[in-house]
Amino acid sequence: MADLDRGMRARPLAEVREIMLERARQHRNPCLYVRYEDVAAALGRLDSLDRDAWAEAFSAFAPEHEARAAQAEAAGDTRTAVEHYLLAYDYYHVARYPAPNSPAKLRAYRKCQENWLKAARYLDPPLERVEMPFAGRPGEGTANVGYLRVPRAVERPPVVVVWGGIDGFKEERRFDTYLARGLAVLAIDMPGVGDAPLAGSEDAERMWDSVFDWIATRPDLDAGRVAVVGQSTGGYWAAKLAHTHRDRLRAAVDHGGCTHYAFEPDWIARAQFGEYAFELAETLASAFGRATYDEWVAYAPKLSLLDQGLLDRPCAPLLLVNGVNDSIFPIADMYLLLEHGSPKSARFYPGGHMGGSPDVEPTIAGWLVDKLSDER
Amino acid sequence: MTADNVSRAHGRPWDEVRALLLERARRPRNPFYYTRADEVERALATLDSFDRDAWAAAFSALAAPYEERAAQAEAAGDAAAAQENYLIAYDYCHVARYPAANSPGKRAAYQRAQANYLKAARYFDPPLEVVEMPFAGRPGEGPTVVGHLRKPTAGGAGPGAGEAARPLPIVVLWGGIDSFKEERRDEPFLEAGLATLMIDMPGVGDAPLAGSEDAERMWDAIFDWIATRPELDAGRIGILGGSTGGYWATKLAHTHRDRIRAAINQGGPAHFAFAADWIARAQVGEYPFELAETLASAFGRATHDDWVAYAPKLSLLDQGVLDQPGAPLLLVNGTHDSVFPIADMYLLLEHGSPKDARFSSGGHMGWLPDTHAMMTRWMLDHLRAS
Repeated sequence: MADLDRGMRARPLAEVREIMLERARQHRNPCLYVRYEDVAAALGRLDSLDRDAWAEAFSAFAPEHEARAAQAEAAGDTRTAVEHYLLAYDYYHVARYPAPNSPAKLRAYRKCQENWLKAARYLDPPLERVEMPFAGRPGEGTANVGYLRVPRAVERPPVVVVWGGIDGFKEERRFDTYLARGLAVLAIDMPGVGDAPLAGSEDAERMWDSVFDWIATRPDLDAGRVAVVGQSTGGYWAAKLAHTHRDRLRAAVDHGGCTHYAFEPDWIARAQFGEYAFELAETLASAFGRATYDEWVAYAPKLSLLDQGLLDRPCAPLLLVNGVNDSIFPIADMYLLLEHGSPKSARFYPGGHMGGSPDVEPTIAGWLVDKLSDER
Repeated sequence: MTADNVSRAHGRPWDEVRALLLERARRPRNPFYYTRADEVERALATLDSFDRDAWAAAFSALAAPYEERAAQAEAAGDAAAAQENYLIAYDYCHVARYPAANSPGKRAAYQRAQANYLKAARYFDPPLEVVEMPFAGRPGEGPTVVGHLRKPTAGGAGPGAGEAARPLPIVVLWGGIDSFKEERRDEPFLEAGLATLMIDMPGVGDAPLAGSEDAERMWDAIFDWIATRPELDAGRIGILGGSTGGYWATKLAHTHRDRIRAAINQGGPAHFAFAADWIARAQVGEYPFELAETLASAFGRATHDDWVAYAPKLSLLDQGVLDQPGAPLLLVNGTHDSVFPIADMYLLLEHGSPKDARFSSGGHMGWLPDTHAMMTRWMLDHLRAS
């Protein structure tokens, strides 16, 4: 029965293959640097979506690039070293995609991080890996891991804390647009993914207390000017924090997040065959301490910010961004936010999940600069 | 075809209109603010058609006793009773010219409504000043924009208090096709320490020009005039357009973004409202009667068919306005608005600068108990001294 359900709720491998190839062709998430021919070869070797087989098929392409990166490094050829560390990173990244929810995917994620950090040693301004003490509950981790980059020549800059969703972690964050505008960037993992010390849940927003407390200990950062940007499922947490932590935030951006309707069974069923490549419900489940489709359907409604009674409270300035044709989370969730609580800012695009326009990134950055630069 | 026949061809039957209006009179809701439901009911009973002059005569007649009482109270030095009765007289004349002053009887009623309103306004606190702002229009257009100016009481308790020594930030307010400068609600802004200037949008009230594809030029005269008043801060101007007026607020946020700090579009159209299929549906929506004809009259046209033919030219999308950068703009409406589609608000969120929005699940204008307070807070946020 479980297999039958899974069969009915899973996208056939042939379709997944086409979607992944298209992404490899366009260099779209998760295929940022990997080569199309390699992706085609790896997919050709798979006869199911077995997680460990998937991880191994893509991981197999990485060692060659790891070796070439190390050689280039030894020879002082920084550019080549970075190029190959990033290639190695991305093969492991695709290998752990969408989530490290099997032994081989977890191994791939560790290797993915290792290579990413090697490449990051050459970033300017530099990247600092920071550990932020987290006082959690029994069984939870003791620290948040973050990647911090501070713009040069800006004294005590404001900080934008950024995180992704169920498949894009702190290694996949983009820093440059913010850095170029004089904003420090702290990339973290939302609860339930990457190195987060706790699973997603109805109160996992407590994770951010430790993040904001840590920022306040850094004399080089302005803890009075902190903004958050959550992307995809991470937008859910940004919208929640705008309400629960509004005194600690100058601004929040919910870029492509879910709020209420996305958690309903009929939407979950439709979205399983939307633009998300495969295992959407299962990957959402894994970010909230669950594993299966059915567990997600059973648990998801508890996450509704409407039913949690949060939305009619005042909130920090909140920018909503998404594509009106998003098939992962319904645009109705964004419209719903506009029908509750404080007025919110919004910019929607004709595209799908996240908006898919080159205008999105500068629009978000411009809005943040506006909110973070005014004196209070 | 007479205007009456046109209305019936494109609208709801008179009996339904009568029931709708009576319900509004009982709540009370626009255009009934100070009228008495029993008197409204009797006046409606005497009418059996949409004939505009008959309508105007029936409601104007109800004003006379209140005008008399107001004058007597005034003579007796009873300011409160004088104001109250002038406001009732004003409102009967206001209903008499409703929705638009588009017939001889309705035009006369509008003048009488204004006269009574201004008599009542002599008792307003803070006072109301009628101002005339020179307008350099085109041949055939009027020479002035008429405004009602009010300034917050010095030493008031609002968040803007304490600014008395410096020029005042000011909110320019206007309504739509049936609700003019006399119908503005400016108290929340005054209490927040903001001056208010109430005007008529193009094509209604005392506006010197009809609505058109470029009638936003009327506001140049207003912003220029504000700059001549030393007690007003021309660097801190906010605008609020209600209903059809929200259309102009949206347009100005783009065309005049250097002259304003912030704009609110409450319940306005932008694009889809101008499509023929929407016009047909809206004609039997929550607007009581003659929606298309009243829209037409605010844009220098008269009939339903005139409106259908002209309306698409007003699309802010097709005019290329929406992808220009804009001043901060707050959108307010109900998602079930049947006068202008909520799709027009969503469309604005898909173009140009990010905008702020607060929608309700209600109908036209999206009123919630705290809508006035919410809009006032938002405006105050944007008009603070920087």
